[in-house]
Amino acid sequence: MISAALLTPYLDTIIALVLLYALLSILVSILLEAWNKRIKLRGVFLQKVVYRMLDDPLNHNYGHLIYQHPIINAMRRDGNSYPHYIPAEGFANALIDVLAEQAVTLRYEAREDGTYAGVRMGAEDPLQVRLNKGVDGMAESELKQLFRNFMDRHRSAAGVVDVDGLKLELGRWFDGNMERAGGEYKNDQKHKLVFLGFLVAVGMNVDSLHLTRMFLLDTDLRDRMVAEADAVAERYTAEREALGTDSMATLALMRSMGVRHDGVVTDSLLRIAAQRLDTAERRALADAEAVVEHVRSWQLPLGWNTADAPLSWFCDPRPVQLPEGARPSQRAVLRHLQERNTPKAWSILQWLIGIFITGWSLSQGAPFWFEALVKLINIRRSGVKPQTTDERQHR
Amino acid sequence: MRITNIHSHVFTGACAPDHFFRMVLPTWADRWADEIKYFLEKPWMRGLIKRLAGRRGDGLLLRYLQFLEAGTQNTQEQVFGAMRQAYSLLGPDTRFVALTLNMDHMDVLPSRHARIEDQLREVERVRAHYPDSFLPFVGVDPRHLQGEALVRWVREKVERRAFFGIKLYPSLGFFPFDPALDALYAWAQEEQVPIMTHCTRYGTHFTGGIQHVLPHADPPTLNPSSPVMPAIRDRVARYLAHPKARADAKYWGNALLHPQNYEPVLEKYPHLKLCLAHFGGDDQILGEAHKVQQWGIDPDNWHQEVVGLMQVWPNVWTDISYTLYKAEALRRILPLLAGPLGDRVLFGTDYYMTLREAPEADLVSRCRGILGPDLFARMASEHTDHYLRSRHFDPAVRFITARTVTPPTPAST
Ligand SMILES: [Zn+2]
Repeated sequence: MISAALLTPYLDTIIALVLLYALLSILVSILLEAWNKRIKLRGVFLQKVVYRMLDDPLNHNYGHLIYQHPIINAMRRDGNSYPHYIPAEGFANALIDVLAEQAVTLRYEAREDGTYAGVRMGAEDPLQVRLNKGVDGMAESELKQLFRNFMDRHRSAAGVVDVDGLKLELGRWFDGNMERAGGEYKNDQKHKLVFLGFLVAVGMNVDSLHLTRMFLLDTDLRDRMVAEADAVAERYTAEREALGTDSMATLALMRSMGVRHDGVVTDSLLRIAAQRLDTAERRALADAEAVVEHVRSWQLPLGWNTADAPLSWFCDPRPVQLPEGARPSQRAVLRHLQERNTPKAWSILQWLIGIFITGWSLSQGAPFWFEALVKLINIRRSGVKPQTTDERQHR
Repeated sequence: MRITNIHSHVFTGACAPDHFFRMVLPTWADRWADEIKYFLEKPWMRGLIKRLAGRRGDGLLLRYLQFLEAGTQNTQEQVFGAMRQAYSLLGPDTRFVALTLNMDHMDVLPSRHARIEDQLREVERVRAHYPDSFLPFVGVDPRHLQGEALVRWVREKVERRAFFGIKLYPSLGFFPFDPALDALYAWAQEEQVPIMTHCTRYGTHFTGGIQHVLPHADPPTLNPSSPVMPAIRDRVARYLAHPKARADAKYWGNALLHPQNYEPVLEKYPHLKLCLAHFGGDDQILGEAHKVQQWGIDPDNWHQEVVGLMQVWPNVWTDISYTLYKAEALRRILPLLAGPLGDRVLFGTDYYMTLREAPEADLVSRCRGILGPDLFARMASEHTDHYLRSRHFDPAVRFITARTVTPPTPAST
């Protein structure tokens, strides 16, 4: 077991880092959700998908036409947003109306009383008839064929279309498309995750190289993190089934980590900011603050501080006094800190690399890091006997 | 007296091709399009860009900002409603000519926008709701339909009084003397259906390369024997030869927009009712030199060109839309408006393109102040009525709504 015992500090360091990445990835996910909400991305994305579903270059862009339909138009909040969600029934109703409306022409006839009066030609037909005429009148196209097939499946022996059955079918078709589009929506987010990952890395000054060094040197810190990681992995494994891969699961993951929040923003600066946000964003802000608070409770060597790089490069770092009976590891920590706090090309480069590693890691997404954490903890449990501090001191 | 605003727009960003917005962005920003749109929707951001870009800045960027002024995701009915609101004090029964635009051919890239047929369908709904005040023109492009097919397409709409005239926008990529438009002009002259065309050095333009629109200096023409064709060909050749001008459609688009391009058409159809909008543009009225004028490619002053055409051809009109935002330009043309040519100058604002200059209500009352109530009344009602009158439409007759009428069904017997 000698080799395993030698490896333990490295494995534990990795576990500590992965735990930190997992938690900060949640922060990234929360920010992403809030940001997407703010720019009304879901609405824009939904509109793109509907346009793509119903675009027929030989006839109409029916997507555009159903967005004008009162059912869909009424779902928008204002002139700068599309509906975030369209129920399948609303979609089916709007589409049937739009298709049937093709059979109606509006003309204005001069009348004897000296006015022009509008006449809706063809509007007197019942809906099924207008629908038939509207689709028949379309130029031959893939979409026309599709609509005709839909209608034929709900046509009685007498040739009348059962509109209710057709509605259900169109609704199912819409739902299927929406489901597929969900995956696409997630793929579309990668570049934003990278950006937000780096934002969090820089914003919280999370230098992975520095943290690695500190985890390796500071056994107390490492042990605390590993104990926490162990608990988290256990809870995560227990809840994994329920979580799935939904992005909303990140919030559930937080619960598995024991992060509590009452939805109240405590930081006064943030509270002022929160007053300008809507409810959903305020909740996101409170969630984000809870995550940050949790990270802070671990007392890790990160964050912006005049005693830490890079701010220390511009301020006079105060000389740190070691207590009388300082252990060798404490001396090593001090040496590392002194070196890091001097603005030399090497330390600057190291900081940049450290930030880069963090930023890239955070963009991998929370599920990736939680899975990694579980695997690492399993390796540790099976292969390596956990070492207690006592055992370590006996050596 | 009933006012008509002869020049307004209600089309929305959804009617512009997908790459329209992409065009104004560097390629790296492509993936951030949604974010950038979000920031551009902020009025302060738009104000900043307007200040930085200046009025004569990139035509596409400014045009995109105009879409934002009208609301990025508004429907055309909502855009129209906002315009109508501005007239609630000026004249509640004001009529609006809404000029639709066929933007389907402004590039060669595929796109999933609301094409011209969708735009017109949406416009027809608006028209059904406001039959007496919303008078749309149909946007025509010789690359969409040609010859008799184009005539059939337009005639059907005009005959049932869904549309009241024809809108051309040559800088989207065609010459007004395109042979594909020949039959349409013949029909329009015969029926006295009004044509409105964009005629300033600025505005929207084709977004692809020059080779797609001007492969050579000898464009096909409906009037090959016209005495002005050589001058037009020479001008096109100058654009093609100038490396800076041929690199950007905001320069070479001028070759398509030049007022002289209408002469071959007018020689063939001297009674065509044609309005060259904007009176040459406020920049030309005030004598500011456009880049292509400085380069010597196209030295003409378009305001004077338009005046010249009006003097020769009895049915050439113009309007003061957009140009009216600049009080100085409006004052400069006052003597012309009071003179004999003034009978063929129309009132219009170019809503919502003008929103970045001033709110509509301010624009109109300021214009009225400069013109004086009499002249304003003549331009906004007598002249506009005269211009709109065709074989299919008499502006003096009122429309009543479709709902009040039962369709003439012989089946009831
Ligand atoms: Zn215009």
